[in-house]
Amino acid sequence: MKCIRCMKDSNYKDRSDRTCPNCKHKFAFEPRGGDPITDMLFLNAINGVSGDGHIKFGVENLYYEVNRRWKRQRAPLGCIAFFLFAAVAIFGYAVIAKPRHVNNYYIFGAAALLVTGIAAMSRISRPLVRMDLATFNRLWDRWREVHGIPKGLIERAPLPEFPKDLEADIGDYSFDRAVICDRARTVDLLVANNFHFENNCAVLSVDGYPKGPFKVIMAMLRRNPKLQVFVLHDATIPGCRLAHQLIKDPQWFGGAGLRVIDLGLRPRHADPFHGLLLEGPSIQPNEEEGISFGEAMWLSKYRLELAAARPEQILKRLFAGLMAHAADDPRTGDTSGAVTTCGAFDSGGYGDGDGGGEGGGDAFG
Amino acid sequence: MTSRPHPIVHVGVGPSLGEGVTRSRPVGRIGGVSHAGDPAIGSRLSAALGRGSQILSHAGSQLVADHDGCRLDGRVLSSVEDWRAVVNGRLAAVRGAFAVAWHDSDGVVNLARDPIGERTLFYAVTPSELVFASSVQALLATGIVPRTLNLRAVAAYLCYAYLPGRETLVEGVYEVLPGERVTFGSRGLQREQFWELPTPAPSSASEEEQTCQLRSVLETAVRERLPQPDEPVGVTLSGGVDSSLVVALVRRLHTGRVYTYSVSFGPGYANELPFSSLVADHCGTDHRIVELSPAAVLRYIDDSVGQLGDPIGDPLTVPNSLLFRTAGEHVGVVLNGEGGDPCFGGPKNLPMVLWALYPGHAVEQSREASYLRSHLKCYDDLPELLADPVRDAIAARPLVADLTAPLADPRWPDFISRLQAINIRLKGGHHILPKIDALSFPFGVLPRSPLFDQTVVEQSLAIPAGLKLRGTVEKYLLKCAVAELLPQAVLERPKSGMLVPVEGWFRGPLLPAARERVLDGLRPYGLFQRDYLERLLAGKLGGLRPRHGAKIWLLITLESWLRRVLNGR
Repeated sequence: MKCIRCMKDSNYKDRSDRTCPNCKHKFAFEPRGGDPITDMLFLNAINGVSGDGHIKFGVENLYYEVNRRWKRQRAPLGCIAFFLFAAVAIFGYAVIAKPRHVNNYYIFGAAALLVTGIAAMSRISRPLVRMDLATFNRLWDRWREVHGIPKGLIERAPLPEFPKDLEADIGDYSFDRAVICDRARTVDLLVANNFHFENNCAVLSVDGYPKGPFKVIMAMLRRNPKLQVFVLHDATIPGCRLAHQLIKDPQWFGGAGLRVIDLGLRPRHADPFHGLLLEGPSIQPNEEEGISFGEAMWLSKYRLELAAARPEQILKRLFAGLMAHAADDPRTGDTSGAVTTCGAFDSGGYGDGDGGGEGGGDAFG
Repeated sequence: MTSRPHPIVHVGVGPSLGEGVTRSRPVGRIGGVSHAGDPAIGSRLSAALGRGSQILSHAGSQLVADHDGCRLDGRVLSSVEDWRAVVNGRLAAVRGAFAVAWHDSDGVVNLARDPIGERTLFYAVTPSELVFASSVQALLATGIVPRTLNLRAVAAYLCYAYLPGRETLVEGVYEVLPGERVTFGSRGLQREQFWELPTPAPSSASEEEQTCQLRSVLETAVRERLPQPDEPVGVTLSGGVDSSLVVALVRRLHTGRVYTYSVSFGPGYANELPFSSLVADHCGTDHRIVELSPAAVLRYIDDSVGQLGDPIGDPLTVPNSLLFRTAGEHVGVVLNGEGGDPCFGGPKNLPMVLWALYPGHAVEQSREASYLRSHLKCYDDLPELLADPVRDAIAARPLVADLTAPLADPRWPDFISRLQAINIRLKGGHHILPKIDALSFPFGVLPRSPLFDQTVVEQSLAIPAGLKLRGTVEKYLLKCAVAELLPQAVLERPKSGMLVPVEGWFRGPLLPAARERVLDGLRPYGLFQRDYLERLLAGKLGGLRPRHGAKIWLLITLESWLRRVLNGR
């Protein structure tokens, strides 16, 4: 097992007391002692989720990144092929040549087939997340104890009191666009990465976060009759309802006649997240406004949290979604409003290079 | 949006920028030393300041002034006698561009710069004397000012793309601030502001009255900057609201021929030509499109940057130079729309409003840090970018400390007005105006900026914040004041700065040159971490919007300036 500080590989017997024999740095995890992962896997997960230290992230993002990297031991394809070939050969010989003690051949053939089946099963991945949250939290506590808090982690402390001496004119302005999220932690992710600052964009959660400036920001948003509203949410029933909720609820944009753009996540975005889904509410699926029957079926079985996507991908795809609709007039021409879905989260994989790219022009002056 | 075709001036790789230029400004630059000493110093100053230079003597001429369009109580200041009459006590009332130096009767040397910063003036105190000049290049040419790099200023440049105050990139060389008077005599060096941005009470006039007042002030500002009625005049035209409104007012107020000049970067790169051509057609100007190839940009970057007193890392320096060169073939006066953003509530204000609304969210969120970050340059990259000596220099005196007082200045209770005051002082007086002054000088062209007119600035400060930035509409009152002069498409066009394709250049044709200049050219100075520079050039900085191109431009400008100006090669 490699030490993350000196990169020296060591044998189990050499690393007594979970200490690297070379640099004496502590290991947080010991697979021989029952831990499911190594320090190196956890470090790679931190590097992956933080874009090598350039992106702020929440611990929930790290949870999914660890899961993404924590693969079960899987039988090699060659091994499966070998046993399959052996089973076919044994059965074939037994049937065609009818040797003495043919029953023994059938027994060996069946054993080879069984091994093939077990090996093949090990390669079939399950849609649900494998490491439960309690296990992750235990590992996370140990990591912090041994290696400290990683760079870029969004540490959620109570927000400071919203300043009462804010300049009076600040509430007089407005913004070009707003991103409304179903979770406060998504607001934190966007704000910590300066997404709002870079894109002239208010960011709020549907449950009124951040509480201090929430009312001021809502009043500011209402000053822009051409406000572009985007929603960003988990693939859950409440998440998929969010856009319709906003155009109906007078506390939000009900009656404003705005077109709200739903960026996702929705069930159709789930493919790249195989192995990162959560169990759904197991309720009777019902088609409703904004949720098709097919989606309702999926949503009754599964949930997909936005945090399962890497933060860098969330930011880039959100940016791409904003740019794709930058020239749209969001007014519907009546008071009823409308919902449009956006394909920013539709395409391709969620590796480091995918998504929106740098985008935008190079404006100076 | 359609327009008639306009002549295109293709700029390729050719002779150096100043070659073949015959036009010169009617008034030259200034320089001098506080004590009569080595006459060779005056000669070197004079040679470095260029045609028409004026050196402050210790006998006859005891006042020198580089000035353009200066008026006092409506009377034009043109002679040395005119200036002598105003320098003691009435400078604050002079309107126009000037840098002036004079001896008092008791031998004290005085330096002063116009209130907005349209002309520049630099100085250094050597062990025995004060030496001053319109350009840093001239100060260095005297041989008595050490060519020592100011490390803290390097970090400031990387955050702002210009030097935002008195300090320059040369240790011990300082800039006279806009509206400042510097004296040097027996009591040593002293500084005082003879003019401060006014803090007028917000006007109680109706919106319509304020619109009319602003329109009147704008017309006066443009009229006062026009040449004689029968002379041609030029205007640089990006197609944005600011330059378009200047074109429209010039067309309305000037009877002579009006040339307009726009820039394009050739096929395959974004440009604003549809808007600039629309305005040119709308106003009936003689329009020219100056098209720059990437090779031309590379050819002329050293010539352009070599003109700057401090490095200015916005990629418009080369286009600006080439526009002035082209304009100089037709006209001696070129107006521009600079100043609309800082004075009337342009971009960069809303991000700061957002900062104020989201305090304490996990990133360094001081107001000062956000202001630096809003320049979208290298502020967040400094820890990875800077080598230890530069880091030590800013650790000793953090850059944010310079902004604490201006960002809390109680004279402007409105957030937007406070930002406006800072932007006028910093971006106006240290970036935009010095840049166009320096880049137009070699072609003998007089650049004039009516939106930075002192009266326009004063008027803009009196406009209630809500009429500058109304909801999301930036420069609201300015647009109202010129609404009937401009095509609707220009008034309502999406927000955009001038588009310069730096990302494309440095992913393609200019990358080899950038590697050479950034990796090899900057190495001897020991300012930066090599690993960061390698990742920057490979396009692998990471993060949401790394802006590789803008940062590479910043660094190649610095390399060029250090080579051409600091080291004089």
